[in-house]
Order: sequence, then structure tokens, then C-alpha cells
Amino acid sequence: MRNALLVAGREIGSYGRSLLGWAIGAAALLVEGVWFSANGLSGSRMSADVLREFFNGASGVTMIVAVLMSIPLLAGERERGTLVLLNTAPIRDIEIIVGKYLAALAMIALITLISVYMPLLIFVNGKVSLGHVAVGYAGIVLLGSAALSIGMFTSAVSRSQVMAAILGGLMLAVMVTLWLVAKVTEPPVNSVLSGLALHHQRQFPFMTGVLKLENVVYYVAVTYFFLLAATKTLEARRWR
Amino acid sequence: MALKPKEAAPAAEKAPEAKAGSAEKPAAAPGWAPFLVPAFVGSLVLVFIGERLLGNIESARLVFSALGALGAVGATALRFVHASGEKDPERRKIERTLSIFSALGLVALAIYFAANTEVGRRALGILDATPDKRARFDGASTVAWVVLILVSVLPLVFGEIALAPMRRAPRVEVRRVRAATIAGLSLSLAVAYAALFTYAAGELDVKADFSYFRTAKASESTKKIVTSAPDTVEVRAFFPPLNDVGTEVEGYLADIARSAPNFKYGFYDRLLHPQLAKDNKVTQDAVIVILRGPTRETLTLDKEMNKAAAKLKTLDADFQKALLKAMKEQRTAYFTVGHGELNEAAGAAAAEGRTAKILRRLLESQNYVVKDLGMPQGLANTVPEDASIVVVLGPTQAFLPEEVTSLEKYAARGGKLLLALDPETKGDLAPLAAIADLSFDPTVLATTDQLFVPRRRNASDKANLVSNRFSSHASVSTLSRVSQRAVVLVPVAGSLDKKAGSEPKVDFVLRSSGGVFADKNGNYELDGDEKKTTHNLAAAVTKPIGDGADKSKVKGPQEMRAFVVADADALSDLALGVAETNQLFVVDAVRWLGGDESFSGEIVTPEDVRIEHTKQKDVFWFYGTIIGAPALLFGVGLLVTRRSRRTAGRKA
Repeated sequence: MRNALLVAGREIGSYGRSLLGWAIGAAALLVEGVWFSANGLSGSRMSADVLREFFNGASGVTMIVAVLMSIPLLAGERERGTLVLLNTAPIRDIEIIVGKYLAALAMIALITLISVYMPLLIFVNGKVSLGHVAVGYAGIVLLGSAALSIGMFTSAVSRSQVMAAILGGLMLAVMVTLWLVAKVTEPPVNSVLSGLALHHQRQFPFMTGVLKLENVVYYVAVTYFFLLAATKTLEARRWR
Repeated sequence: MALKPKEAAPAAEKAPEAKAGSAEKPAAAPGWAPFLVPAFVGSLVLVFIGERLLGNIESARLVFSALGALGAVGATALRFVHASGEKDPERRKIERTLSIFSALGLVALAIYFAANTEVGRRALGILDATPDKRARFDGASTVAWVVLILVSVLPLVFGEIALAPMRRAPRVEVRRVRAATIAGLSLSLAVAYAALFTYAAGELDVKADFSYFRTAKASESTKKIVTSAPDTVEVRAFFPPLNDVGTEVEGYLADIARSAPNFKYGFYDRLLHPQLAKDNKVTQDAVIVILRGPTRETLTLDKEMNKAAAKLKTLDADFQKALLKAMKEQRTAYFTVGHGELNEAAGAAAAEGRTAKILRRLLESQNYVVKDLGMPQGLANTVPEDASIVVVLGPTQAFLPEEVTSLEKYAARGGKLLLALDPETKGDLAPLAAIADLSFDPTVLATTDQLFVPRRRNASDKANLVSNRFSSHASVSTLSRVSQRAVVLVPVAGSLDKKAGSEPKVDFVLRSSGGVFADKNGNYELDGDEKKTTHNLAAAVTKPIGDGADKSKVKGPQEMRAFVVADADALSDLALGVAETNQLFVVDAVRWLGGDESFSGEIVTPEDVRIEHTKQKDVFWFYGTIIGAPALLFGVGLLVTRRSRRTAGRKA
């Protein structure tokens, strides 16, 4: 774990020194702001609806940010030829994966949380509970964590960043739209597909301020699985 | 690709054994060996197509499933044959491992066919088992075959990927193949565990609701109504599968089912159960049917969440209304007219909120049909037989003696009266109060406390009283339970008292605070001979039915009941619209009058706040959120990165 934290610290430092990290954060804020103004501040709407719409938009932005941030983590290193340095370091594959994941997750959480002034603006003229705001953010961070792990997996299996981006985007799109497929299939396949869907059914309770253990476990499970898959992919160079 | 140091390590270890350049020939692996895994996986796909995609076409299902099963058995058998015939001990070890994973796949298929075919179920004795046992078996067998398929296929595929480059090599590396199969096994077990954990968490249904504004929860009142039913109350909800609105409704119904053993509910897809939908006269989605015996009531929502959201917020009130209709026969509430009552207010009075639309709606929600009762309807002669309640709501003119007599006779034969008297009236309301053996003092009350509702921002506001001094009477049971945080708004009230020597049982259910005085000179100041004391603001009166009355025709409880309020404005739209507690006050009173006091309790209708904007504010927020914050963050980023570059340059 100590090695993983060392990797995480190094990654976070590089995010801070790179203008790209700040630019991604600013872009995320910009898109969330436009969404909030367009959907939340237009017309006369109920406070809870405005908050739900904000979380809906923010969750989409977070997924995209998560994939963008995860792509360079392994595919970028491989492209630059620096992955070999990590491979030769006295550090296990799982520590590399966990370290990079923790750093990216910390950045995603930070980027997400600095938008907190938007839901707080609702208090000016409306009425929502702080618990609702906290649960909404918890949902977004969990979704970001799952999207990040998917991105890390595609980054681990791809040789180039472009391929990782395409693959990551594709996987995420499939995972998000599974609920649409579930709508046209029959039981019990439809319940399996909708249970696997990353956003629709899982994220909605968070948006409305309901924290369900089932959804938390789901996001943790997805994150765990894809991180494990990414680790196994790194390990696979020994047996392929 | 260049060999990386770590990758080179295993090869280097094996170098002495491999003896590079030696003339050792590759082992004679049969040409079909590499195709065993694709054949096995392909066979499983054929079974899937047969069972899942072509399940409705019996002949196609048989062909595909049989071909798939035979293919899987054949591939596994060949794998075992190949393993036993392999002379190289390392290759034999690998083939045996892969054979075991392949055999696990066959076990999965066997479980699937045993659990899903009539022959298999009969052989296992599941066909005759109890529904509970059948459901448990189905669940367990499904989990078992799905997990076994995963545990079989992933390690097989991973192992084959590792083995493929070594098939024609002189020697194979067992450790590589083992590492690959273990990786596959880990991933398949991770999927299985993750799925099972998520499923188990879903079954636990642990949740914390922090939403300020949400789908209404089932109220205690609704649960009491269901529990009070002597027989089963069944609800059939017709929603498309995986519908968001249906999910919300299911949570609501599940909440009732947890506390009411006689409550059953089921969700049905209208298109999959056309006969059931027809029997229940359901022709569209998002319909809730409440069944109690032969009685059927329906509640219609919308299947789209954005359209149904508003109705979900009042689901408890709407469901309770439909439930009451199913539980009890519809009753009639008569509102007296012709004396300037609130229910016929117009013009300036209506503009001020001295109307009774909300009260009418509340009565309808309690399964009453509301009708007018005045001279044209025969009030001067008698109150109609079908009257369950007669409401006299703030008359501004006196009733004719004949009308009062008619109401007295109605009370004597076990009638139920809701009398809302008002001090701001020209007529004498004493005869009306006397029907309930009360005296009404129209002197307006004012308070010396700071507890009043400001309206005109002058001294007259001191007459806008609020009170939370409830008795423990059934007609105010809900409010008395929450009296610490609930007050009833009583603007410009008179006061009530018991008539000397009266027989009926009188309970003053709402009293003013001790700082209230009868403002005789109308200056809203405590002066002259005015004294601070507690005044009675509402009373619940009961009296036995008079001799000679036909008890079989009495609606509701077998006694006269009257609920008298010394301020009609407390029941006006103005007060009921502002204070939800006033709604509770009147609903509980109506329930007590109708003998439904056991149903008392709050109806859950959470209130949301609409966000109103001004254009100026919008502009400020727009630029603040869209331009300000991102620009600030980017600016900070520029500063930080520049500084770190400068520092790095200096160090260099």
C-alpha cells in the first residue's frame, strides 16, 4: 500500500504541475455551469428538480472527465516508453494500478466538489437539504470511480492513447445505454442488463437524495472488477 | 516488441532446459487441439441461442440446444482423450487442468437443463415442491450454473491464449498457462462475487433518504385505513417493466405491505397480462387498481417520470382517497347556503381567500360527495336523510328559526354537524351554537403575546391568533401528538363556552394561550375591564340520540356529534392554504364526525419550494457560474504551473 501511495503522490504532483489537469477542471466547471444555467436556472422550477437536473448533468461530465483522465495513465506511459520504468521498479502491478487510480480519483473528486457552489446557489431562493446535496455528490464520485476503472482497463489493454480513448468511450457508452437494451429484452435478461447499466437506474436515487446500499455496492463492485481486470492485463505480459 | 526485463525473466529461467538450438522436435500435438476451446465456447453460444433467443420455437430450440450440448460434451471428451494420450508430463498437466475447466462447463449445462426442463424438474422432485421451495431452488440453480459457466469459460480462454504460442514449441511453460488460467479464474470469481454482493445488498434494501422533496411515503393514516379493513386489500399495479415511476410506486406499496398483513400487491405488464388488464378495465400503463372484495378503485399516474413527478408527490393523499372509496361507501356532506357562507363567497371576500375550495377538496378526499343545502333544497323543513355531515361555514347572516329547528331535529336524530362560527357577522349565531349546547361570544379575541401572525402590519394583527393547546380528544389526536411543533392559525376568532346546565359531553379541543383577551372596545389593546385569560376556540360535542329516533337511519356513530369552531376563517382557503396544520385540524375533525377517528394521522404531502428568478439575478448567476468560476480555476492553474516551471528552471 505504501508503494501505491507513493505512485499516487507522484501522479497528483504531475497533475498539479500540468496545465492540462487545470484545463480539464475548468472545462468541467464550464460545462456544468452551462448545464446548470440552461436547465436549473431557466424558468420557475422546484428546488428539488433543479438539484436533480444539476446532478444529472454533473454525472455526465464526470464520466467524460474520468475517461479522459484515465487514458494517459497506462496507455500514455506505454506510448512514451516510460511504463518500462514502472515495470522494473520494485513495485507490484497492483500497486501501480491502485496508485494511479487513487491519484486520478482524487482529482476527479476535487474537480467534482469545486462545483459545489452551484447547488448551494439553490439555497438563495429555494429549499433543499444538505444531505441531498451530499448524497448527490457521493453518487457522482462513485460513478466517476467506476468510469475511471473502466478507463484504466481500456488504457491497460491498448497500445495507444487514441485506441484507449475509443475503447474506453465505447465501453462506457455500452455500460450506460444497457438500460435501453434492457427495455426491449424479456425477463430475466432485461433485469440482468438493467442491473448492469452504469447510470440510469443506479444514479437516479443519488440524484434524488436517496442513498441505497445496493447502488454503493454496485459501483464499488464495478470499480473492483475493472481494476482487477487492469491488473491482470498488466500481469498478462508474463504469460502472453 | 522489445523484451522488457520482467518479461525476459521467465524465459531466462527456462533457457537451460530449453537448450536453445538443440534439435529437439516439437511435440506432436493433434491438429484439432487448438480448436477445442473455440468449439466449446461456440457450443455454449448455440445452447444460448436455442434456449434464450429461440425458446418460443420448439423445433429450433431443440436443434440448437441439442447441437450445443453435444458440441460441448464432444469438446470436453476430446480434451480428456488428448490429456490422457499426452506423453509430455508438462503438456499433460496443462491439458488436464483445461479438461477440468471444460468439465465444469458441462456441470453448468447439466444444472441448467435439470433446473429448466420438465424432465429434470420431475427427476429432482421440484415439480411437486411448495412454491417457496421451488423459488429457492430456481434462484440457487440459476446462480450455480451462471457462476460455473463463468468459472469454466474465462480460465479456458485465458489458458488457451497463453498456450497458443507454445503449441508448436519443443517445450511448454506450465507456469505461464497456470498464471493465465488463475487470472481467468480470479476474474470470473470477481464477477460472481461482485454480482452476488450487489444482489444481496439489493435484497437487504438498506437505504437512507436525505431528499428534501420526494415521492410521498405511506403515512400512518393510510396504513391504519388498510389495517382496519376486515378482509384483504389487494393492489394491482400495471406498469411497463423497468419503469421508473413503477419503481417509486413499488417502494410506496412495499412500505404499506410491511406494516399491514392484509395488504397484498403485485406488478403486472399490461401487454404480458392482457386478460388481467381487461378484467381490471385497464387500458393504459401506470394504473394502480385497488381491490377490496367486489369494489374496485383506480388511480392513474403517468409512465414518464417527468410527467408523473407531480402526482408522485401527492401519491399518499391520492392513494388514500382511492383507498377510502374502496373501503367505504360514498357519504354526503351538505354545505348550508343562502346565509353568506364561505362556500358561496364571491367578489372581495373571495379575493381575500374567504372561500372554501380547499375544505371541499379535503372532504372529497375523505370520500364525501359535497352538496348544497339551503331553502331551495328544503332546509326549512328537514335535513335530507342521506346527510352524513352538515357543514355550516361562517354564515354572515342569521338562520331562519325554521332552518335552526331543522338542524336541531337533525342533531337529535344522531346527525353530525361541523359548525364554523365567525365574530365578523351581522346576524345572531347564538341559535346555531345552541344546537350543540354551546354559547358563542362574538367579541374578537386579541393577544398580548408576541405569538400572532402579521398580516396588515398594524395593531389588528394581534387578532390573528395561533394556538397549539390541544386536548387529548380524538378529533385533534394527530395535532396533540405533534403539538410541540404544530400550531393552528385562528385569525379573528370569537370564543365558545358551555351552556349552563347542558347535558351533552363537551370537550374544548382547542384553547387559546393565557395571554389572550376579549377585545371589547376593538382597539386590540388590553385596557379597561378587559382581562387576560384562556378562551375556548373549538369544541367537540357528543349527545345520545333522542328518544323515538330511528337508529337504523343514523349515519356513522350512534350519537349526535358536533364540532364547533369559534372562527370560520380558520377553515377558509386563506388559512388552509397557508397552514398545513389547519388542514390536519379539519381532516381529523371530519374523520371524528364520520366515526373514522381510528384513521387519524398526517397525510404525507411534502412541500417543495419553487425557485423564482429576476432577470438581473439570472444574469449575475449566469456569468458567475459560466465564466467566473472556470476562469478563476484556470487562472490559478496558470499561476501554479508557471511558478513550478520557474522553480524547476532555477534548479536546473
